[in-house]
Amino acid sequence: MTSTRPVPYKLAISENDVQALKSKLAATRFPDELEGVQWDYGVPLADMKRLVRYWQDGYDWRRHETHINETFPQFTIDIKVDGFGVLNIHHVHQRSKSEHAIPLLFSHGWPGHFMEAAKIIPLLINPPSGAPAFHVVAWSLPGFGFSDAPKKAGFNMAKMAEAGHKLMLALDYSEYVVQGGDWGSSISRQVARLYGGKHCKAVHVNMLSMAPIEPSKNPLLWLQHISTPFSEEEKRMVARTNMFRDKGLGYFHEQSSQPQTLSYGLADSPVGLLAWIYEKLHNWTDNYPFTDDEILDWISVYWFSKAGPGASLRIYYENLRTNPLENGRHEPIYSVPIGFSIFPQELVYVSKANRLLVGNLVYESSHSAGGHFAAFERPEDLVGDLREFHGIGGKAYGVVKGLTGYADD
Amino acid sequence: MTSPIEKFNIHVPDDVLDDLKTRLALTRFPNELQLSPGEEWSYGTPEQVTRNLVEYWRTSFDWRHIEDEINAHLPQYTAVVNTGSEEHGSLRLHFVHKRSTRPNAVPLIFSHGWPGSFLEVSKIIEGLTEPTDPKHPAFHVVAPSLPGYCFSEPSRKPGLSLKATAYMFNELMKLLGYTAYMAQGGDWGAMVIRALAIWHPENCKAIHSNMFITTMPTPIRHPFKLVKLIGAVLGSFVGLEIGYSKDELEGLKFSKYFMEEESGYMHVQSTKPQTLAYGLTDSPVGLLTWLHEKLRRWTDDYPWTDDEILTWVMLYWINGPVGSLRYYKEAKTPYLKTDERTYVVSQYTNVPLGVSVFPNEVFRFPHDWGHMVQPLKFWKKHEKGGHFAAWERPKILIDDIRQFTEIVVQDDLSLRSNTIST
Repeated sequence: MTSTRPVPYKLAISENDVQALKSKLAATRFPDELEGVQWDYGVPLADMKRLVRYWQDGYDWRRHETHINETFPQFTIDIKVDGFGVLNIHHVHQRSKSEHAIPLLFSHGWPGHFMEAAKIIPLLINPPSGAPAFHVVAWSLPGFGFSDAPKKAGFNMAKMAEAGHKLMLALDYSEYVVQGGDWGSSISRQVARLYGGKHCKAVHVNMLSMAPIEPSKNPLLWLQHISTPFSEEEKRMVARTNMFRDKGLGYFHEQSSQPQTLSYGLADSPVGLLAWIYEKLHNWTDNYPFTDDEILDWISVYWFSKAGPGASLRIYYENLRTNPLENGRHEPIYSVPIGFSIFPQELVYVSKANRLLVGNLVYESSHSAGGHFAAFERPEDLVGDLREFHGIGGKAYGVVKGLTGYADD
Repeated sequence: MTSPIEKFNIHVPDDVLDDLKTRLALTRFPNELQLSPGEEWSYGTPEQVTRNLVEYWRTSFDWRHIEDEINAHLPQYTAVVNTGSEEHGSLRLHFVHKRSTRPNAVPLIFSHGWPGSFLEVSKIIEGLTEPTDPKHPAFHVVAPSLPGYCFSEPSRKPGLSLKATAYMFNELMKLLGYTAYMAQGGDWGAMVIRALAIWHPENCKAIHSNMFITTMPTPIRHPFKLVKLIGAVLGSFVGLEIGYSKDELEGLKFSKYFMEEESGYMHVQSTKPQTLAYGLTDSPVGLLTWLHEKLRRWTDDYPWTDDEILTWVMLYWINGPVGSLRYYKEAKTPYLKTDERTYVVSQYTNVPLGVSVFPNEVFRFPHDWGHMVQPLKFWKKHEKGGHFAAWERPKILIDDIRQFTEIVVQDDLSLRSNTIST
């Protein structure tokens, strides 16, 4: 059913699909593994066997489906993206009781999904007194979750931003703010680049991807960068970045060059999909104590996704193939205030000097715990930062006309 | 004393074949983008081609017939062979062994790579063992499966890489009575034969590669080549051919492009092979597309039949591909101040080298770089062919091996004089 107004939506995976998953799991064929290598070669066999057995025998998808349906109002809406026709976009749209709440678009990344916002939504919409309230829109990116996937090549960052922006307009939010990590960070910044000032009024990210400082382009900054000693903490984060670059980018190379080749195994094999994503949940978080239910809730969304798990991989290909100038990912943004939350186990560290190239970076906050999936791992910290950034006295206070996040003074 | 060599015939149990058919019937396909004509492979293996193969695999592909043919054509054995390491002990190695009827045949070990197999020797084994022309040299041919691949046992411990593989292959040749032999290979096989030349030059007397690979010239060891390269690059900016030809520079550019744009599989397999293995062990279509992409991309318009593609894939499906994927990560096993892979591509050894160059190979290096790592005795460029030379251009490869052999046996009579008469 297509509509230019939001249509209420409830997840309802067919019983057929749920049973088909269990049948495949029951027939899982496992590889052997080397002795004593733990996580060095990838996900250990014992973890996989345990999770597969539970996913097949004990795990209850209906519990999670019902929980999402009962807790988070979901909708779908048709959004026309130039050159790509109409894409049906799935999203959670939860409004605060406060009429002056700030509209916020939360963008997930890969292998994230819309329910990364599950823990921050209740905090954002219902703050303690003295803190600003938000209306939260947490969408499934095109190609992810329960949104349509684009059917043609070329759906790059600019198109993602266009879709997100048009979604907010379609929900009657002419002015709004954005938040994201992973690809959600790039998308949020692209929204600011393309629609900042007039529509997008502020950006907050918990990850930054930046081009390295080039001596020819920014000689003074480069000198500053190479002559400023790193603190112990910075050195640790740089070491983590280097290790990620050496040992953690295999998926990135494959997904940005042959995503289709990889997609068959992920679509056909639950254990294949589970390993591919669970490895990131384990390696990219700060010792987050995932329960088996949390892991399988997360990966089941990918397994049951509307366009299939393979469609999600294309975001890598589309953004490393199309014109980087058009993507504009590395151009500084001056039109709106930018906030950045630094979590110690994030994958890529961006130095202080490099951060000067972000643009109007007016708010930074460092934390002592947390990794890549900040909204899921450290919801109070992230929400605390958003409240500081957007609240009274914050650098992004009152950016949305008439919607400060507070009841009338 | 029992002979450590056992006869081997491929016989995949019925339940493995039945299980495979069931999986194929339950395949859940991804969707794909609508791409312009000519661009179908640009995101990876396309859907329609894959659906067709899966359907054929499920309904008509006759594995038993192919199994019989392979067993009839390629005499196979297994033997427990020392790895040269306490960690890994001894492992059972699967291999093809066919002796020539001609006296003075030269023993030759053929090493496959990924995603190839011992089967790659099929089209050259007859020409090598029984040349029709009495003037052509004959060979006793040994073609093992790499440890952890196909029917060769994997190690249970990490770190079994090129040095151990070479040790095992050398032990195998000695076990078969060949104390002086030649080696031929491409892909990982090209690395294994280098390892043989480096660590076992007393037995491995000459090597022929169809995938020459090395590192960049270094200022200290190869100053002239480095200057030549810099000159060529600078010259190319102004449209001049200095030092290296335009062709050779293009080759280097392609090698760079390959590492940047087509090495995703290599990055995954050399860092997280276990993670990748779960899907490729459990999903036949997952394994099929992962391998098929290379069969297509790395060959020079080779007209793969469905049977050929599926046979190659079956050899990885039967015992699962994990050992083969881990081989990429194992290659980074530390050795001296570097790792085994880097050592093997750069270490100089005095064993003569012959190279056949095929235009669609993935690594394309200038001719004189061959001299950086061994005495280069043979280098021939061809007009057609790709990565799997023995499969795509068997006659050409046999020719090149013969020519190279004639050169080296003139210098090294031990190759002719060590054959055992049984």
